[in-house]
Amino acid sequence: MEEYSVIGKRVPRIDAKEKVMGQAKYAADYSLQGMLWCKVARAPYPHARILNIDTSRAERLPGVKGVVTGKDFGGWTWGFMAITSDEPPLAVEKVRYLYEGVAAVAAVDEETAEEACELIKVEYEELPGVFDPEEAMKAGSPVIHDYRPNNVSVEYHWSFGDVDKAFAESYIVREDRFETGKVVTGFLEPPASLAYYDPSGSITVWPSKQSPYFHYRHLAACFKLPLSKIRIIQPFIGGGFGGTKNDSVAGDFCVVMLSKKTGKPVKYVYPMEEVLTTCRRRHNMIIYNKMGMTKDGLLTAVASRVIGNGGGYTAIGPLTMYLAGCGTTMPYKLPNYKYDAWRLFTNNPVSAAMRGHGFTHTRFACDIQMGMLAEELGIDPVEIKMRNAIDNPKRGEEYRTINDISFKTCGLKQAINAVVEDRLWAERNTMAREAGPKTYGVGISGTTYQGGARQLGHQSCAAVVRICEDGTVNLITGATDCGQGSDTVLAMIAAEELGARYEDISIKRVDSAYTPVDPGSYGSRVTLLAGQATQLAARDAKKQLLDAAARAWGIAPEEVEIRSGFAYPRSKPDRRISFEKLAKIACYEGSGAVVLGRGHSDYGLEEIDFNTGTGNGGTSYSFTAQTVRLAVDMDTGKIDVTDFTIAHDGGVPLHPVSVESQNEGGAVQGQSQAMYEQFIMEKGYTHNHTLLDYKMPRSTDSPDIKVIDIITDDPDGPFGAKEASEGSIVSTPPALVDALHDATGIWFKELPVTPEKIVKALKEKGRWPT
Amino acid sequence: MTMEEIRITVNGKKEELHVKPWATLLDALREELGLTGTKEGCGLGECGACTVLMAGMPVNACLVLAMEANGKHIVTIEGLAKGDGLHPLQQAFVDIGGLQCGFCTPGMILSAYALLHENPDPTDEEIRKGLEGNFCRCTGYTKIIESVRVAAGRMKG
Amino acid sequence: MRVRIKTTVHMPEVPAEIETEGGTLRDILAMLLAGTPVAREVIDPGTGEMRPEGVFEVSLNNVPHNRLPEGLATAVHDGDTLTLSLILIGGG
Repeated sequence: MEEYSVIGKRVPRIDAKEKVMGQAKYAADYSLQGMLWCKVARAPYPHARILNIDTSRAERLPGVKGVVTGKDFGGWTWGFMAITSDEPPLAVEKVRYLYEGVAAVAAVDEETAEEACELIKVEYEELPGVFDPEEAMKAGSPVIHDYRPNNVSVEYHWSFGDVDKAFAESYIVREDRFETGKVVTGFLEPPASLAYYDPSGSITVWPSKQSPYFHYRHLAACFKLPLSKIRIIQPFIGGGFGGTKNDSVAGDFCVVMLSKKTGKPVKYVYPMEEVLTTCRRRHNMIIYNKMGMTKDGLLTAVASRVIGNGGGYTAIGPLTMYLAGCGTTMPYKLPNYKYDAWRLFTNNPVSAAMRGHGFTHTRFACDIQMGMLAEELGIDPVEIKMRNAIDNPKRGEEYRTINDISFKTCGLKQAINAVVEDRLWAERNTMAREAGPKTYGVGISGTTYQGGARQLGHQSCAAVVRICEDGTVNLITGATDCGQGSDTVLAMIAAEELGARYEDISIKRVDSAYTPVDPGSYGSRVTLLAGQATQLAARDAKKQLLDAAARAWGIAPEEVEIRSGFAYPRSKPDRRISFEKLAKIACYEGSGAVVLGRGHSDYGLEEIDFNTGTGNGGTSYSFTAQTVRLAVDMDTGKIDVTDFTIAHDGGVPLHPVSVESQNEGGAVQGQSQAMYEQFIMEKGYTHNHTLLDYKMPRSTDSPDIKVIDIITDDPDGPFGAKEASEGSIVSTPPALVDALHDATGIWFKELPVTPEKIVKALKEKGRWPT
Repeated sequence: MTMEEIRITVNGKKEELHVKPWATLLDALREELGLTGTKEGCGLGECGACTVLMAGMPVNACLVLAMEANGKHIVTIEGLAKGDGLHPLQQAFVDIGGLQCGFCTPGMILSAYALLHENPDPTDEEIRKGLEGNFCRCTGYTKIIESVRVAAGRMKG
Repeated sequence: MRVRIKTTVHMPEVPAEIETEGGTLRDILAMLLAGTPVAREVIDPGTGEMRPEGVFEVSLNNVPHNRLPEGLATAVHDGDTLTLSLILIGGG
């Protein structure tokens, strides 16, 4: 790896200081004079027609300043695509999931707003509901959206090669049913926003959004204002993980509308219960997977039939179902593939995106099925992965899958080797196997995830680098750091490209009035796309500095070097001056100059056809191999996960601390969704709507984690980088379930694998009680 | 409804506040004193984001009535740093990278502070146990444990 | 004349092929989309004009409409392929 001054170094996070001091401000921390509080009134039925709303009593309550209902939004709806814009800010003619918002109140304090919500009288005609996607598919089921009378929100049928022929010629074929759990993003900071609608026709908002520019477009469309009059000032964000904070929620629209009505700033903060009952969840999917192999364990074909539980509205569903299918042709060579997928409307909270979007479901099914086939064929589980793994393409070449996804680097084999050589796997037979009632198991997985997401539509981004006259640097982009550390990486990229010191870079908070558009944090795109934009902007600014130095020294600009905060003629390195001095020369020469660099990402586009499944939505793909060691208490079914080793091919780790932290956090999130998290639903009602009952791991539940960087130096990423945010949430569930199989001999196909499921399975095998 | 008067010392400073009888210490700190470093995650005492020290003990400020805090010494995250310098715990979190989104961080650091006060030389197991009441969704806890371990080492001198 | 319609996202209301007397791109689009839920996104309520910008990228025989010399007023011929590529407004 090249010697860089800043890239690859373990610098402190650029925002660490304000966070540890409690000075970082999140949306709920903002206040304005005369501010009102907003509460959303919610429907008590999962499926009902709204006959009448009487807000008069609420309006008369002292302290209430304004009330809005669905009608106030004039029939406006929004969605991920124009053809699926089926969601209103507040329900208008009917509600489609329990607690969907029907009205909102602005009052002098939260208690008054809550009390007013209870005084709003809504007449409903309760409708029969449907809660299971396979039920919703059946004829005669209640229709949730008139424009989709069969309740099918999204439907794809893809075919590559000839799976029927391939299965017929396979040595062995397996068919299994897998199911992923009903889970949610689990961020600690609930959605919140402070909004002010200026009567002269502009909106200013401080919302917790990891995609502030989607929200700014939503507001412009909803309130019929030009984009230049919508100002999103982004606070720090307390966790994103996709879904809710990439989108808008009822509260967001209500506070703006209430501000418009009352002339005052209005703020909402969702309590955690509202988050767990109404915010976007990860889709839960049923996967009927069929996989064929030759006698040597080589994949011949996969046919996946996937049913997604969509909830009450479409949201980003079409992309989810595309991603759930497109990744099956990687990271193992697959010559024949058939994908049939349906996303069903049900009367449940809306399912949307979450970290590992789409891939987590089908990579889980395929990785486990490979393990099952390996067992049947008597082939070592590592061996079978290595036989099928896609090789790292040679420099200048790329690998193309049968559905037209291409990539130039693939470190899967190196990653698998790394975890296999690591002590967790290598010494697994010398470690304790039993300890009292506990049996230990070690499992392995090899998976992939998309990075640098780019699709048709405004997905591109830009950056501006401004050299201050004292040599410090302002980095201005629309890119959002929702906690993953992208601000740090962008600042490092700017410093490296400019030749300035990391400490002298100041990255500014997103403010749509001043920062260039960026779609936000999702699809692991910020480091890649905004990173490239930053690189180009820094180069542009640097050119101006090089020109200034060249003029000052009477040499050609190509002969000037700027590095680590110093500038010098290459031929005379001891004639160096500080970056600060160079900035002064550039800025104060003659009448002065403003050194401003701009750049935008120019990766371009490979069109995706959702209907046929062809095309490539990613700039590059990461590859992760993982081992998991755990202990199963054979009496209680309780699982103690003790160790993870994660080998992640993220191209090049630009900020090793963040890469490790993302892998660690993603893995624990994956562990959580594989063994703890599940919403207990009953006819649309969420039984476990507190953090106590919706279990997510604490410090005592998470294992010791080791992260190994696999370096493939991708030609498409800035400084060789690929994604390093989502790989480990895809790799953890199959490795964990593989470890459970090692400990119990049982393959678990339904997530989460709870103690009850383990005991039940042991009992069925006559092994419980012990 | 009458407002109640309370006198609390926050980060060494004496404060006289008028609060609603049902206001929590969290409300008082954030709304009355503008100390927004202490966060509300769940409002039910299940996540630890609102951890502050009351009479030296780590408490969930959302479960303490403001009136209950009357006469007590409260330390919030804003009160940990002295002057321009950071407390060794804060510095360790910065150096090791024991945070991502930072929302759990104030509560986490204060819980760690209380832990190290009681047990200046904890094992990793004891650190995990000591922070069990503070939920983090971002980091997977690994670098948090490391930060506390490093801080403990530095504080022992 | 017969015109083939390709969409990159499933739109059940839009057929794969249509028979028509003739017309411009704009006419064909109006015919395809007028009765669908997306009509109000692409048809200006004030003028009744077809405005697919921001919603679809419309291509005729693989050439984007804004690169055609006559844009949406381009005449469509028998055997042409009209492609509607959806512009996505979100991510996750």
